[in-house]
Amino acid sequence: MTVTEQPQSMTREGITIRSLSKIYDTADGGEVVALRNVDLQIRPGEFVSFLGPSGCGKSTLLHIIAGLLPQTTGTVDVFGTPAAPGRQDSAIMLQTPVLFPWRSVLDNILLPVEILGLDRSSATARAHELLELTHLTEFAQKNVWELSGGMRQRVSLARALVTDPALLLMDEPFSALDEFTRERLNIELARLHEELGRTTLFVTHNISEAVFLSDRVVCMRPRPGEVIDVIDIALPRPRSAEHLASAAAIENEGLVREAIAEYI
Amino acid sequence: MSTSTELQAPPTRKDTVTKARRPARRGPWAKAWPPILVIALFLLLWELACRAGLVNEIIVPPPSDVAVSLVSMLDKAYFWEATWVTMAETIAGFLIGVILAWAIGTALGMYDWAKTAFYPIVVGFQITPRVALAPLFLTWFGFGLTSKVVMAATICFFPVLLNVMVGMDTVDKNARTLMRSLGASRWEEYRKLVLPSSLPLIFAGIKNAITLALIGAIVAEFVGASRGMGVLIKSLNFQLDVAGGFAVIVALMIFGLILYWIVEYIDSKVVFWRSHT
Repeated sequence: MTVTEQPQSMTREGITIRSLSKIYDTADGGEVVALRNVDLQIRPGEFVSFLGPSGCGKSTLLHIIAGLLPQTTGTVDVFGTPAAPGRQDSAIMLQTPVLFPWRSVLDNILLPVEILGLDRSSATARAHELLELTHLTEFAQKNVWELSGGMRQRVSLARALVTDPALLLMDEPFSALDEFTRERLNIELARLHEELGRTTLFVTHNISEAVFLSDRVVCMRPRPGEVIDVIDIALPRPRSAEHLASAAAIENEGLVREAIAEYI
Repeated sequence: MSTSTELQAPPTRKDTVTKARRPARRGPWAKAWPPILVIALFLLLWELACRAGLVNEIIVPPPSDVAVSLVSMLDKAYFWEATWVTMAETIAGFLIGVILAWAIGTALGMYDWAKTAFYPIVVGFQITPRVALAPLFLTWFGFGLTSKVVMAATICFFPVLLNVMVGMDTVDKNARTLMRSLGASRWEEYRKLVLPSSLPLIFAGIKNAITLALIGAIVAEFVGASRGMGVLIKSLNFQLDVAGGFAVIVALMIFGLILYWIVEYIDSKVVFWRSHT
């Protein structure tokens, strides 16, 4: 299955962030330091969560890595080239599913293929594989308003994966969903990560979600946005539902909570 | 007491669904008969008022006279000629107005500075009663069809323009972020996101425009023309054939409705997702 093939760029180095800062000018002439001196090295295939309260710059960081925002100082290298939008090897998933009601589920998934100018017939085959992986096989020709919130976010995930990106950026993708749907999607995401092995950067403010999914959790603080600690998660892989509330998971959550204790 | 309220309070899902579906099962006639009844009652009261001598038949003829006039007009060449002229003016003006509004609105909406710069003047024209321009158009473009087409186009231009511009502002921010992350060009972003996103509002403006175009054509004919339904109404009134005047107005209503239904049908096919957003 083409879905599980390793893309070329994965063999290259991962993501390197060096002395990255982002400063916003406010309307009254002041400055807001959204990010200060972020240094990170992310290995290919790694699942890294960015955790922190609102205003800690975790979303800003993800948008800079996606090439959607320019940094003020520092560098971001994605697989050896500077971060930029419109790359085939990186895809972003946002808080809302952003599906177009004038397109069928399948055509929504194929949107990146059209814009990046890739071969549609091979992408269609891949889209069908992704529909199968996300348990949406029978919904390919459905309208998006016929889907539940969780299903919509799964379509959004399939759309992000359709170009076979080596890097998957996820900006609080399940935060608008109810707790049950969120947990089910987290289990599915963990399984997909085991199967596909894509480098994944996951922004969240949910500690147990971060621990369950990640190899490492980058803990951040607000005003100014800074990395305060990077916690290695000692949970075995492959991860599945039983790791959600295991003793080891709870122990790791404790470590994370300790790191960000003063910002809770 | 509390037990009985608890038992009654939450209506089951099944109940709600059955109730909601009931009118649909009886077919379209279930929905059609109340308006038919109201129209029939209205015509009946009107007829009775005339027959009883409550109103002067020269001023307000009974509906039966209007119907007779209308039927007799249907095989008159002058009636169909007038209809053809007015419909041609309306449709030509509508198409020109809508296409220009779409093109100019899109161009203005693409750039924030253009939007800011032109928005007040657009709103200004939108508020001005554009029929006031009809005498001016008559002097500029003459007695022929042109001045009527220009009037119809002008009157439907601004509401569509405004909706095109506002529609471009209603595009979901996250959707724009997604398109930018894919490296979409301005044109791709317009074609694949902005245009379809704003279609519901654009079509709301277009549905408005078709009725406005007909108003524009008729008013322009009143102001100065030699052919068309507006001219026909005026000359029948001068001849004190008030029933004939009413008959033309009824015909105008029917043709206006047909045009509106055509646009509404196109809208339901193009913006098929409207009721789901």
